[in-house]
Amino acid sequence: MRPILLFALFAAATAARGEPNPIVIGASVSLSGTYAASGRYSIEGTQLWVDDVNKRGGLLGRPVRLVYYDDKSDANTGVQLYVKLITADKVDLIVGPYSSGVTSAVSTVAEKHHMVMLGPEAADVKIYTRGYKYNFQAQTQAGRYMLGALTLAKANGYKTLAMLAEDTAFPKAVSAEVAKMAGEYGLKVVFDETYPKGSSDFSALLTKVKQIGPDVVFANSYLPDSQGILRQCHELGVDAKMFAVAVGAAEPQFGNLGTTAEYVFGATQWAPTMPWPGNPEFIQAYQRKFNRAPDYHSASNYASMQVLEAAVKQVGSLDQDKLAAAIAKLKLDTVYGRFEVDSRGVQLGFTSALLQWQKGKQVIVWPDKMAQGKAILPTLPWSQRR
Amino acid sequence: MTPHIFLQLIVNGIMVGGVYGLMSLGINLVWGVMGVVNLAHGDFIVAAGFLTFWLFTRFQVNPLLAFPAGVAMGFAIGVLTQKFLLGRVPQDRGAVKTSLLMTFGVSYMLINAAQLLFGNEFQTVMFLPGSWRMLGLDFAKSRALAFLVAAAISLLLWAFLRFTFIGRAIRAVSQNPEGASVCGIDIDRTRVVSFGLGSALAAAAGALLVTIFAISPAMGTGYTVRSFAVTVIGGLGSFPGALLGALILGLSEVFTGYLASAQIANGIAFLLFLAVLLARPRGLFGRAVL
Repeated sequence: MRPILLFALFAAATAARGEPNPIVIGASVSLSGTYAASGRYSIEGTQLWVDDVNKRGGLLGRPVRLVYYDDKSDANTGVQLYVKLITADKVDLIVGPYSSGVTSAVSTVAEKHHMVMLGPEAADVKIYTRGYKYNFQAQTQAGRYMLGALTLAKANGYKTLAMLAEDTAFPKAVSAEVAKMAGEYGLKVVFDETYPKGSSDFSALLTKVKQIGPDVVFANSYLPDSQGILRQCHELGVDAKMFAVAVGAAEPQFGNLGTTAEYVFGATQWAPTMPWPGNPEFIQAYQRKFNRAPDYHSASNYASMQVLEAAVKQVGSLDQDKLAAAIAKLKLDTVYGRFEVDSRGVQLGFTSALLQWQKGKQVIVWPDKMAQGKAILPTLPWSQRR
Repeated sequence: MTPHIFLQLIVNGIMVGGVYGLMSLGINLVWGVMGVVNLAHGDFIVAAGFLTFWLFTRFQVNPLLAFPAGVAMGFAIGVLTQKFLLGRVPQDRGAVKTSLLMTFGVSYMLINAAQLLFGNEFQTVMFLPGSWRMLGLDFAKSRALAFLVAAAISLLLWAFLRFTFIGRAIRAVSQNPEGASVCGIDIDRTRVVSFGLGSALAAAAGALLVTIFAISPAMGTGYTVRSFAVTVIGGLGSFPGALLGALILGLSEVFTGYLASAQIANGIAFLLFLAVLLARPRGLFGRAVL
C-alpha cells in the first residue's frame, strides 16, 4: 500500500500562500492484485478531473485535492481504507472504488457515515437494492454488459452458451443476468460455473466446456482471468463459434495474447467514437496527461466526478444530505453518456457497447450506430490459426 | 467420464504436477539442510518470472534463453541472502525463529522491489500458444515444455546430490549437521550452496511458470504455501517424495476441478495437507521432523 503523501506537501504549500482550504476527495482503488490494470485506468480518470476542475477555479471557490490508497483488489482492505478516509483523514467527499465486490463492502461504510458515494465501477445492481440513501450507481448495470454479445449470437443463430465467472459480485451478477435473458436471445445455457478469485488454471473447467461443445463461450471475468481462459481455450482446443469476455478485452493489455486475442469480443461501456459531449476533449487531455489512451474505466470515473461536481455546484455546499437529494434527481450528460438513476440509485442512463479484436486492434462492432467495423463470425478454429 | 477425458485429465494433471515438483524441490532442500521454511521461496519464483517477462517484452529474448539468466539470478539472491542475512543469525535456541522471520522480511523486500520495478499488474509471457495433438490428446505446448524442463532439472539435481562431493555434503548436513561437521564438511559453506541451490530451483520454476500463467508481485506467498504443502505431503528431505507429492497435488486439482468444482480444487492442497499430517505426519516418503 502506498499512501499518497502529497497531502501534507500540498497542505503546507497552500497554507503558505494563504489560499482557501482545499476540498479533499477520498477514494480507494485497486492498484495491486487482480483488478490492478483496470484500477489504474479508473484513478487516472479521477486525477484528470481534479486537474480540470482546478483549472476551472475549483469547487465552491476552493481548490480540489485527491487522496487515494491501494485496496489491493480486496474488499476488507477497502472497508478499512474508507473508514480511515472518513474518520482519520476527514475527507470532504468520497468516490467509490474499483469493482462491484469492493464497492459492495465499502458502500456500507459510506451509508453508515452518511457520506454520498457514487460507484463508478459498481455494475452489480444488488448493491443498490438494499434501501441505501447515499449510494448511487455510476456504472452501466451488469445485465447490460453482454447485450451486444447476446444480440450477435442471436443474429448468427447460435443456440448454446457456456459461462465461466469469478465468484465475486460483478462476474456472478453478469452470469445471473445473462442466464435470465438467454432465452429471449434463443440461447440455452449449457454450462454455468464459477471459480475462486485468484485462480490461474482453468483447464479442468474448460475440459468440461470442451466436452459439451457450446456455440458460444462467455468469460464473465476480469482482465487476467479473461486472458488465462482464452489462452487455455486455445491450449485445450475449445472451439466455440464465439468468445466474449465481460472485462479485459477493452484493455489494450489484452492484445498481449497475440493471435489468441483475435476474434474475441469484449464488453465496453464507452468508446472514443461515442457521441457524448466533451468526449474528444477528455480523450485529448487524458492522452496528454498519461501518455496513453483512456479506456472505459477512465471515462466512468471522470463522469462520476462530473456528476459530483454538478451536484456540489447545484447545492452550493458539501452538505451530504442535500448532495444525495440532488444526485437522486440529477440528469447530466457526461463523457460516459447520460447519468440518471432511479429511486433506488440504480443507473438507468449508461449503456454498453461491444468490441472485437480484429488483426490486433479493438474494433467497436455493436451497436450499429457506433460501430467502427463489422463483427467477424464464426471464430476461426484454433487449429487453423498460424 | 469417457476414457478419453480421463486420459486428458491425467495429462493435464501430470504437466501441472511437474512444475509443482520443481517449485517444491527448492523449499524441500532448504528446509532439510537449514531446518527453516524459506518464506521468501514463492517470491524467488515470482522474481524469476518477472525477469523472464522483462527480457521477453523488452528485448524479445526467447524464454528458453532467458531461463539460465533467471536461474543464475535466483542462485545469486540465494547465496547473498544466506551469506549476509541468515548466515549471521547466532546459532542459539532462537536461531530457527529468527531465520524464519528473516525470510519473511526478504519476502516483503522482494514483493515490493518487484512492485517498484514491474508494477502491480498481472503479466505473462505468451510463448508457444496452443497445443500439440498426439493420440487424440492435447498437450499444451507451454505446459509440456515446462514439464520436460522441470523433469530434466529434477534429474540433474538428483544426480548432483548423489554423485558430487558438494551434493553429498548437502545431504550429510541435512541428515546430521554435527556428524557432517566431524567428518570435515564446512557447514557454513554447504548452507550457502544449499540456499543458493534452493533459490535457483525456485527461480527455474518461476521462469517456466510465467510462460503458462499470469503472475503478479503479490502472488509469491501463494506459491510458498503450495510448495510447503507439497513438501509436507511428499515428505521432508525426500526427493521422490517431493515429486510424487507434486504429481498427487496436480492430479487431485485437475480431477476435483473436473468432477466437483473449481472452489474445491483450489483448496485440495490443504485437504491433502491435513490428511497427510493426520495419517502420516512425516509425509509419504519423509523423515520425522515435526
